[in-house]
Amino acid sequence: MKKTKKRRSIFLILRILISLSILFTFFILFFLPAGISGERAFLHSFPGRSQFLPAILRAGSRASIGAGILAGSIYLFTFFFGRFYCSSLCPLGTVQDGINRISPWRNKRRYRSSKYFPIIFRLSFFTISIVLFFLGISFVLSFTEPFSVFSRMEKHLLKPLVLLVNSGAALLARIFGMYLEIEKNIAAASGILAAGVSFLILFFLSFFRGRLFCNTLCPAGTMLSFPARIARLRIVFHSDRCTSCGVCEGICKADCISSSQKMIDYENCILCFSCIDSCPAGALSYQPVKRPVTKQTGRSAGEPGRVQSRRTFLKNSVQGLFVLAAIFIVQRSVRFPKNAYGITGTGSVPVLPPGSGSAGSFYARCTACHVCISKCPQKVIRPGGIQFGIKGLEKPFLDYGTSFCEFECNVCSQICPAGAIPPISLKSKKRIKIGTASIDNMRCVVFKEGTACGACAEICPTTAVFMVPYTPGLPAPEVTPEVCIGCGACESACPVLGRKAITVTAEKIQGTAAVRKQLPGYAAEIQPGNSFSKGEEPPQDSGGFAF
Amino acid sequence: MEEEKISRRDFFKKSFTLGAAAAGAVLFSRVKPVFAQNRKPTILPYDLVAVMGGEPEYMFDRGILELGGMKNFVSRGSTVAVKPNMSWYAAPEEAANTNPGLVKRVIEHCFQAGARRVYVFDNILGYNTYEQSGIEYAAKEAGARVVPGNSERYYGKVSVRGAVRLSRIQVHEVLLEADTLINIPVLKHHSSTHLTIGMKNLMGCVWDRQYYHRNGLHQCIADFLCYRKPDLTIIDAYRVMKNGGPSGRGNAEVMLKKMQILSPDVVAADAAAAAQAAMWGVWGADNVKYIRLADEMGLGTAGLSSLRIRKITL
Repeated sequence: MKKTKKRRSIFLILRILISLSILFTFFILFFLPAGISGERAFLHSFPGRSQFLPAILRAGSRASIGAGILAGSIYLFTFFFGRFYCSSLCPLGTVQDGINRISPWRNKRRYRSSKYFPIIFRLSFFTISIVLFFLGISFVLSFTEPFSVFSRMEKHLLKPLVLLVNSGAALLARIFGMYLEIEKNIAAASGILAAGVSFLILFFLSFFRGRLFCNTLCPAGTMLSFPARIARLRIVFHSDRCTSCGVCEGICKADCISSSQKMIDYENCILCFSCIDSCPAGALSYQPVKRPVTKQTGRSAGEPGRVQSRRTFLKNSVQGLFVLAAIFIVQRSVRFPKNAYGITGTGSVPVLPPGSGSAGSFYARCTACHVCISKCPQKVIRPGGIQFGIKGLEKPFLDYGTSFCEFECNVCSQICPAGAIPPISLKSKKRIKIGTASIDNMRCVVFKEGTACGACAEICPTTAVFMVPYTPGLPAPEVTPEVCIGCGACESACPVLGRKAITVTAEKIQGTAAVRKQLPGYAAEIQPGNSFSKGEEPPQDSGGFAF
Repeated sequence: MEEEKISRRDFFKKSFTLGAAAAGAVLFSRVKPVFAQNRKPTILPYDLVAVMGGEPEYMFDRGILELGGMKNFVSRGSTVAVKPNMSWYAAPEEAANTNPGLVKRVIEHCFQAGARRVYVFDNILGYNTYEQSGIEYAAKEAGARVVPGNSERYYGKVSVRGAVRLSRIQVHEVLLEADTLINIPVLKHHSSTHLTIGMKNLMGCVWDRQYYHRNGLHQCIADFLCYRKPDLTIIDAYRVMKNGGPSGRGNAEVMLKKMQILSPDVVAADAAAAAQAAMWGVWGADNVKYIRLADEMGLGTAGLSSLRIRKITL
């Protein structure tokens, strides 16, 4: 048999180029440190903010017009082009395609009709995960939201390897007298567990069944399947050229082509264009059709096939738009609930990133994507385990054991894709009170041992912790709670081993700290009549040398 | 005569061993034996020089001249470690860090005296303070090598003999390599110790600051001199933070005093600066415990009346 050299599908090439570019851009932006400056953080926020579901959540929770336009555009374009997002723009899709590529079943797939995956399953799973999410139990949604899954895998599985290379490169660079910026890798058990489990599940799903995740669990997939059913541009069969060889059905990652019936389930088609590319007879093409139908039958393109009634068309459109609207509205209404804390039983109150408001408000918005954890320059944000209850699982909190929240930094608020930490200016962030410090006199070395310390007051960025005269020559620390913003610098600087002498207690609802106008205690302007340290008057300033 | 043939395997073995030895030598060359830092002691014209009334760079030019020139401290082909105070996220005008112009001038003098390499470093208390203080840029302009100090990997363990509280400390690796240590503190108020000057500035040479705070801050500050005394201390009192130190937050008052103190004895320099600060009304400047401790331990002389002091007013 003469083998004819077939032209590769332009759409396939385009899809691969776009998806790989996005994947590599995301990797670069993920792996580079974002510093503490606002401009750099904005660039680094691009991966998270450009994705579909985070944009919807951000539009809803923060009334972000830009996010709304982005999400709306993706959704509206799907009405026209189909589920182009799933193959070209979603990084988790690209990962699955990569896994699929190494699978021995890669071209041995077979058609599974919608009866196999009843729409009712997808819809109910989707509804349950969204409803739970807004109730503050987000782990169903956060484990299926594609960007969050991708971001967690990247942070906990891939980034440690990259940082290892960075460390090795820094060592090498030192031989040549250069000092590379080294980012420390903080391993978080809960994060690694979550990422590992996600990866294993995803691997098995892709290896054995291609894009099964996209057509069952993925919330973005479910949402985009509605407009995809009635998309104007779609992959159609040319029945005059089709020989029913079955190659297209074998290669379809979404199991949505039936070669025998010359039919495609458009709600499942993720537009990877592998079918068009693999068809030996060139019987498939991606083109506009006059009257969109739910399933394309074997008739020639352009001919009205099993025409859908206007009623069904409207039904699909309304369903889809309703889902979208519902998400906007419900998210918008989740404000700082009265009982803001909303977590019972464990007793442990987490310190949350400045701007997140309260645990109730934060957990109802956060998808646990861990981008803030990855980008925090101080590495103080860590993923929670179960110490804050089931609602706090995998959610970020501030761990003041060895690090603290840098005063001059607001990176986490600039990069949060879902808007759980709203973008706030550095100036506002410096006033936000996330906790309050308090001193345990029984543990502080100044009180306990009578030796000089004051590491806490030294590093306090707001002068909330300050030194007062205690005994001659020995000042002692004191806290003005209203001024304290709870950044944890004092706690991390305290030299006491074991439990620190100065600790930060989280604010259940983040508030505003007062600003100190005048330095307290003896550090203030010397007033006439104040005794000098040895009880003498300070010497007269002659303007010359004192010795 | 038959030519001696080396097999390919032998060649690779020898090359590899040589290469590994060379790499090892480069990697470990930073750790020099202790005796390398001892130089022939020179008799200086004065024990302490104090200059007043000029810009930091010019005051240093005049001051170092009085001490006989930088060549008394930096030998030709030697390595110099410069330790300014650049720990704080503050601009130069806030006087929380050493004046960058002064640091630059000192480095230039080091190179003029024939130094092979000049390192600048500090164990900082903030994020990106190297850049914010302006010292990194100034130091690089002068040709120094600016080394980070914010990771434990840059520090090496050494033992300290004769100290009361410090027995083993982790010091920055450039101290292990440098022949000369030049200490350039900024004079300012400190919330815990009343004043931070030369001896307190040396705290930035060690990794574990918490050890100092936990084991008697004043004693540990004095004890560091048992490990190594700076060859030259230049106290920057051009701008002096009167209160709210060491960070300067809370609208601390900064005085323009245009002064500089130079001395090979850090204890003497600190004592002079403390007396000056007391005159300027910095609270507690007359009761700085670590200066007293160092004097009692014989690590320097705090009694200024016994020293040969040169005072210059520009």
